[in-house]
Amino acid sequence: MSSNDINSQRFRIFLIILFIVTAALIVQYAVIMLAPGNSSVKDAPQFPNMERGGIYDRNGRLLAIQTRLDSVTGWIPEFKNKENTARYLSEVLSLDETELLARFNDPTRQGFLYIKRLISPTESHNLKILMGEVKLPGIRLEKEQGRNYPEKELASHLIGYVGTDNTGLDGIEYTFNQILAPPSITTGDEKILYGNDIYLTIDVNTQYITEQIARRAFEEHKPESLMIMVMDAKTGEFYSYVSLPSFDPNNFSSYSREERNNLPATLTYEPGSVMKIFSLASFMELGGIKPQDTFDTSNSYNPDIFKKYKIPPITDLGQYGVLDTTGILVHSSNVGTAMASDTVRSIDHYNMLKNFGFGNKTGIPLPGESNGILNTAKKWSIRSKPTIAIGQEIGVSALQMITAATVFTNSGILLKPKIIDKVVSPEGKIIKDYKRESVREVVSPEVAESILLMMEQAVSSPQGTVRRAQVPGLRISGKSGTAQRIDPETGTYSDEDFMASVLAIFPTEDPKLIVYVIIEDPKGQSYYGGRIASPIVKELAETLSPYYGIAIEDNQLLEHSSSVIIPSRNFLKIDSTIPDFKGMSKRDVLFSLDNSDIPLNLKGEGWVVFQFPPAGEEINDETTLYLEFK
Amino acid sequence: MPEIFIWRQMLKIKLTAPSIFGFDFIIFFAVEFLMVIGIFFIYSSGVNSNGVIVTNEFIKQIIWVSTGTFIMLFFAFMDYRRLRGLALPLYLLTILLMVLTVLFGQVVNGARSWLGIGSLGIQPSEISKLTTILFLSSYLNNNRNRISSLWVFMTAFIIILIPMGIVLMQPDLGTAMVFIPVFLITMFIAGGKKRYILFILFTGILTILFSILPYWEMFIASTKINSMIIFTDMRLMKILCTVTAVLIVLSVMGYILARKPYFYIMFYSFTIFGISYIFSFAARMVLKDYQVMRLIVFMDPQVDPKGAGWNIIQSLTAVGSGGAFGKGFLQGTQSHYRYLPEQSTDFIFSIISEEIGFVGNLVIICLFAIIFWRCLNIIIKSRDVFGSLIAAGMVGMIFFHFMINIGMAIGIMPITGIPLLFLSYGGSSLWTTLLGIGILLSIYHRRYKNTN
Repeated sequence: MSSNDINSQRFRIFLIILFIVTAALIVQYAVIMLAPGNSSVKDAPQFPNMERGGIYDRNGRLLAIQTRLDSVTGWIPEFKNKENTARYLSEVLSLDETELLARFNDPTRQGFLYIKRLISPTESHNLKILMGEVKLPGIRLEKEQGRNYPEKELASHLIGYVGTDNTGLDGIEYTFNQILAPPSITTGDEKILYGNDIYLTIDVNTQYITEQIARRAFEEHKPESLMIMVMDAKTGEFYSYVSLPSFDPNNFSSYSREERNNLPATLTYEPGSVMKIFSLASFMELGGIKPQDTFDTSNSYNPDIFKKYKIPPITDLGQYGVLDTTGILVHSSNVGTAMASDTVRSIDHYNMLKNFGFGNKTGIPLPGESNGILNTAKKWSIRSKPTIAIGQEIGVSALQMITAATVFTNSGILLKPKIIDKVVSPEGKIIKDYKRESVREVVSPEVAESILLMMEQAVSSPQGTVRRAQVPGLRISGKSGTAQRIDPETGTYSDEDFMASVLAIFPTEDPKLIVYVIIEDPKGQSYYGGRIASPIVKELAETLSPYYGIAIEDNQLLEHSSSVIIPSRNFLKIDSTIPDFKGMSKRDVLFSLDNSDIPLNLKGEGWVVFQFPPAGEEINDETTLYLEFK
Repeated sequence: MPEIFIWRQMLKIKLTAPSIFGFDFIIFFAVEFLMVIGIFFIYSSGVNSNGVIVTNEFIKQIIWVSTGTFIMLFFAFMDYRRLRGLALPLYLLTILLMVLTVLFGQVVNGARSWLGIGSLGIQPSEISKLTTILFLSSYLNNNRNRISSLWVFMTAFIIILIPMGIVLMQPDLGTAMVFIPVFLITMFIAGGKKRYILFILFTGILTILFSILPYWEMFIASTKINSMIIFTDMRLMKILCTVTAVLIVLSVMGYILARKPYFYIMFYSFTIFGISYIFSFAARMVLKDYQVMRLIVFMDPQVDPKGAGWNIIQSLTAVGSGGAFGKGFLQGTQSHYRYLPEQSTDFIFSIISEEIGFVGNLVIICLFAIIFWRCLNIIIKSRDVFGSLIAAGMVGMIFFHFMINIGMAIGIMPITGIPLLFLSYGGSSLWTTLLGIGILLSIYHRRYKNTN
């Protein structure tokens, strides 16, 4: 100790403190440096995994599922050779090489960049192979949340799609985004946050069959668009909801806005003669006409007031003479309907149409639903009442039409259309069960019943406009319509652009299904709804009836059919061994296997080209059937 | 002009070297060795992923190291006792420079801490650390007979509070913090009353704790802690302050009337609590958003991994990936791919860790330990209290930098942006430290009363 007056005890305390702090620092340092498996760049940021709920069909078949897809990221300072990197990546990821290189050379962004987000598993696979062959420093694959739609275009308008940030942009994905999305706030520290699952009322098999039929018709008639909807007559549940052209939600961005457009909900059109069923039902309900009333349709409908204001008369296509109410429907007589409209007041007719749901949204949870166009009675002109009665001067959506038809299948009560069956929580608890929901009584049960029977005549009668939909042994009620579309350029009715449609209900005695087929601007020789839409209804009735347990008494389908696929031939019975599926269509396979509980692994579309296990193999608990279609 | 005055004073000093063998070669070579290592890794930090050197920082650092060595040797051979008289004018001069900096200085990295023209500049705040140590030592030396009085303690505290306050205004929280350990250690070695020193220490720790707690509750704690409201609610704060004030008054009265020690303890504790409590409110108001984020990410970097937490995560990654023996010189990826910010200054230790590993870094820590050992030796061996106190202050300064910077690199200290002395790139701090080491060498050199 030197001779200055530094206190040696204090010095020692200071020394000890210094020593302890340094030792603590070194120990902590050693722990970080020498402990194995320390944090690295890639796994350092940790967020809870978010898992958006799935979308299923009514039987639990998967329609939309959360996936973790790769995103390709780049860290530019690590790049060795920008030109090569851009060339290789543009090949594998089908990107534009010069554009990519320009992004790499952008002096303002010389750090991190996303080269391509959410690439397909094939692209990931190819990129991994490439990265094994050539070194691409700075290029990494990072897992990101994505959405996969295993059924591709199936019911895509209904399901919708999500953006890169996993937010619903259209369809159910959009309207039910809050329910599907995982909770954004969490109290605990769960590793994965799940959203709720949604079960649609759609039945994948029905949807598939309907879509196949729709596609063939689309090929044949080359229309601008084609819609087919199948609804449960008693509950208002949609089994199938087809709108063509359609899109694959897996890469929705490569489709045009038109292709992504959900036409049944958004398209407003003049329904044409199909409207007559609602008009005549209204007149009967209002007491204006009775089924047995007769109307002389020999001359055109040209009352004095029409002549006074020089309004062109309402005419028929043919000469039908004296018709009763059924006759009006069977022949789809404009003159008869117009004459019948004289029996009621405009305001009453308007109120009836309102009660059928026209001019209002049906309330289906789909974005952009149209109100249709139904002017209040005050705004009606002299010719409005008869014109609306025959389905002109009124704008409807396909959803409104098929929904309004539930009035006839539910003893006069209008139902609310349903596309959501239930919402199920991640724990498997049903959060919301969507029950049958009636809106109001529109007509009396008697009126509903008689309209159904009149519509049956339109199918079964040899002169009926829907006679081409006849299915021997099955009672079908139907009404066709052909409406001229208003040319948006001239504002007048177009001579070329027609809407051909048929609305059908079967079986008439105990309605189970309502189908509605709309073909917009068909390019064939005929544009009449009865002529081109009826065969589609017939095919639907034939194919769907067995599936829904609707009895067809005289089952001789093969002889009558000229269409391509008739299912009965290919139904296979599954017993203890695996049958030969080779050459069967996917639809037939699904039908055949519908009642078996063998786990399925299906790949591709079309007809079976490969199966495993091979035919004749014993089926046991471990059997999983793999089928490849082409 | 004060500068001319200082230089004239300095030139009067005779360079009297008693004996070359009295020179502390150990600390000299330890410092030189550290600086050479520093140059190598400043070079490494300037190399990009293609192996191309992109900055000339290492060349500048070589210049600073060589000029700094001359400065160190100059002061080593000058008699430090001459500084006793110069301490006050130097102290006032740096205060003046700092005020000028706050008013007219250049803004670098968000703080107005540079004074100068163009690329030539100095950081008066760095120099102030040394001049404050000198003046504090000189003041305590002059008042060593009444060192335990509250008056001397308070005056000494004000001596460091003035430069500290100005540095805080720049604002440079990290540099400002250095003054606290310098003061506490110098005061402790000088023989100041322990209860006063502990008072400052406890108040400081409690203030930091109270400031952080609400953020901790908000961002880190998994459950809501309702009692935290006492740190955020203004109305509650007023009530609690009044209660504390009443308790303080009561304990003072009790002490005056009864003279019982526990009244003193009560008074002591309540005052610490009250001051920290009020200061924590003030701190949260004064702290900038980025500083708050730094505190939050210090507690949990994953709160904002790509933003404020980035530095900590990347630094930890660099340190952790070094392993026992490192990736080799110039082989580190964290630095060459530019993951680390401020890699030649604040995060030089991370680069060194990544490239030479734990074993290599033990050498660096050993060199620092040697420097501390020699400084402590000087505290004891100094012929007078003035020299001891300078050495104590220097230990405080170097050790604080050492602890905070390495602690920051390994994630146990919040990011404050203070350099690792001798290793980090930067002229002002290097010169200041070398000047300080020069003074220490001079103290050591003249440790025997019979010399000179």
